[in-house]
Amino acid sequence: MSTYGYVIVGMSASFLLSVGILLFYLKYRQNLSRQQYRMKVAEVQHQKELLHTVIASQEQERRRIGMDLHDEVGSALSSLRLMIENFVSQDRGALPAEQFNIQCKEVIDKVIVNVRHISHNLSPMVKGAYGFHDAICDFCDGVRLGGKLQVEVQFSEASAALSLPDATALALYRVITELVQNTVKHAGASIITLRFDLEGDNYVIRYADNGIGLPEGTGPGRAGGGMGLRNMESRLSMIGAEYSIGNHHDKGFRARIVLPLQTKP
Amino acid sequence: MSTFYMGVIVPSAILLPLVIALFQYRYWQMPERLVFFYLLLSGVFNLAAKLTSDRAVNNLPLLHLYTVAEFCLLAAVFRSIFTVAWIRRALLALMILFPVVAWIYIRQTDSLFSYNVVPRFLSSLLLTGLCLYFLIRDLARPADARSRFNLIVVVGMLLYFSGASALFGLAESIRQDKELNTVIWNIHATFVLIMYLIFGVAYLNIPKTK
Repeated sequence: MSTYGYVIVGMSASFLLSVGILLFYLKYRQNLSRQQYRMKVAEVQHQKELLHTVIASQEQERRRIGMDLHDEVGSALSSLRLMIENFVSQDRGALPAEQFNIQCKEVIDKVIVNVRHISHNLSPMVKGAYGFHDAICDFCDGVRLGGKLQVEVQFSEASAALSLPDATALALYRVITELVQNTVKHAGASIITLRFDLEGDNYVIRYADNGIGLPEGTGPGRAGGGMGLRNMESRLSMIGAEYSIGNHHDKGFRARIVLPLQTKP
Repeated sequence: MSTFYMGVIVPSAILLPLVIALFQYRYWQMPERLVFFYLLLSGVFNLAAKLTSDRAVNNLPLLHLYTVAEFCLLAAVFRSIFTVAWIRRALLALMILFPVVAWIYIRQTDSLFSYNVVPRFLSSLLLTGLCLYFLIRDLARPADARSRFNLIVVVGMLLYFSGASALFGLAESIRQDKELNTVIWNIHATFVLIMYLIFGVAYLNIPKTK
């Protein structure tokens, strides 16, 4: 082949090679864009689900508060009203004033206790050092009182004394109560263990039970996750915590929550 | 074969991206400005080359000057696109070193009035390499309207400089057969035309925001 041939072949080959490179580039970008679009759609869908869950759980919470007020406070106040009516309408000699006074005080005390329970449940005292620790211990004591579940809570010294921001402590408290409620409702477990540690710059919570574990295909971001799981995810994402859930090799459910204590730059 | 295509039609085609660029003047940023200067420079040199060749004057010294100016301007285009400090420094070094190399080549080979094989070939290889480097880096970046101009300009440069590299490297060896020589330079002119048209498309794609 002459030099002319080499030049023409060289020019054509390098030009075609460049065209090939550009076609590859375009195809690659197209695939990348498609993938990014799919991820964005999935992210939006996930956010929608989280929002639905938040709204649904708010409604559920309102219903529960309404029922608590109706059953606990409403009925006590009704009985108080009846007592007063009877006392006024009947001959005063039928119920001595002192006994009436004692009965009224009992009912009023009952109302106060119930209102305190409801308000504690609505807004647990998680403020300051040991606030979160105490709130978790109180809650677990309440679960233990039921008699069906043994709850072991371990706080490392540093983690117990740690003063978390109110919103963070409340979110973690809600997540833990959600986990415990799930165990109570679905797991058929007899033991729950909860460990709180400080590992480097992370606050780490380990939760485990010896129940039936998660059904197949359930997990963070998967379709199988129920409202409780999405609620947890929503609360933890709000405070910048990460979590993983799964089953033990032998038996039971486990969850690990990692809360970075220093904000990333 | 006629030289009308490569001597008149293709050089005149530079008016197309220039006119489009002027219409988009308000939305120019640094790469758009530098590419416009490059087109302007090409237009001026094309005109000078046409006028001198019509009067049978050896215009190859102009090519020496054009090669250096072209490389420096296009390297400046890449410098305005890339944000990484060491790449910008490397490009600045190339913009300083390339004219020195071109000058040394002229002095060493006493070739002011002959074709500047080495600088032209070196320039096209370097610019092809820069285009490929841009594409590799751009793969990892999310697409945005502002960088579309840069991408389209790089596509035009890649097609032209990669296609013309073989010609620049062997230009001195294909002077005997005038007919074939014209054929090859017409192919080269087609690559130039493609680049000008692509630059025009690039200016049409400038986002209408500052």
